Amino acid sequence: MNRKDPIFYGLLVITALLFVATIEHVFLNTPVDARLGIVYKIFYFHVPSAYCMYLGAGACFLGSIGYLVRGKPSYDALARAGAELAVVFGAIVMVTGPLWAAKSWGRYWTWDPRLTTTLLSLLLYVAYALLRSFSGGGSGEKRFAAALGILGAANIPIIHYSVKKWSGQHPTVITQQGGGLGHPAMKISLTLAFVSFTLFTILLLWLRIRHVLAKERLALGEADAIDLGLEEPS
Amino acid sequence: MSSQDIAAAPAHAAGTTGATSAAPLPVGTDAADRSTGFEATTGGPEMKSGEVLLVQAYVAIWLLLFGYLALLWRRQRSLHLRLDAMDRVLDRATAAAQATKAPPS
Repeated sequence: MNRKDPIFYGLLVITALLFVATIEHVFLNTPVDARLGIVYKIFYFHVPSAYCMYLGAGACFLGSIGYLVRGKPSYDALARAGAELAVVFGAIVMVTGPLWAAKSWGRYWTWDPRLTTTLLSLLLYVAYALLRSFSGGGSGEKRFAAALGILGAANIPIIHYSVKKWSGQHPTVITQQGGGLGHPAMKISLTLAFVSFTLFTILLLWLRIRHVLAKERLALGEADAIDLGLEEPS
Repeated sequence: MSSQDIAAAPAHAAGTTGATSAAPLPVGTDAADRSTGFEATTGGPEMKSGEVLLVQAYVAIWLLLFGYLALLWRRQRSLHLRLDAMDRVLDRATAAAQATKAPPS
């Protein structure tokens, strides 16, 4: 057992318990919205997912910069894992958002600034993930991917401030003035959701980084085996 | 579609159900007409159930997350297959090395 394994398993148990608490609190203790009804509860999963997409994008950005500066495989693994999580959580955002909009706006999609920039960002990270899947593992490909990872992160502040700058239709419930969550249970639900989604993202990031690094080590081992004249592994 | 279009759309967010603002039914809505054809209208009662949309969103979240976990599992399995292949190669190489080192009997 690796010395970090107990931390991982501990975090896994805490995250699972927090998810149970979040689901219980969102569906059983939090009142529905007077105007939208129960559908507004999508908000408790949609917003933390968007935040986790930002976390993934941030990890990709930091990993990409680190790889370009230091050239260490661990930074490349961080970038790759972050981009994948940006795709997963971005997809959740792009599915749950339109389902909420169907009720609130009467239609699933509109070319609102925030929706459009989020879609653009998701497509950028899909491009990154595809590039990493179908290109070789050479340093040239990794440097190119790192540049794409930095470019992808440049869109994140645009998503965040697009509603303010371009007066979009997308609601801004969470504001610096305290936000639009009137009932205390709403605030507790959102806090629980943020914490559980953040921990879950950290777990996935950790798992994926370990996997990418293990794959790199194996590739090096295979290359050494071939250099030593051993039979090429099938 | 612009923001103005949305502002002009049925305002579910503003709390109206749409039923009260429904356009008057077209002419010819007696039982005989209803059994022989459908008349399209806008601004009628809400067609999308909030409960259904919430469940759809919830299902989508877990499907996407479990899909990603399945993908990770598949990648892990491919890694294990490569490790097994490496093990076999190393075992064969070790056995060959021992055979050449062994003194002739």
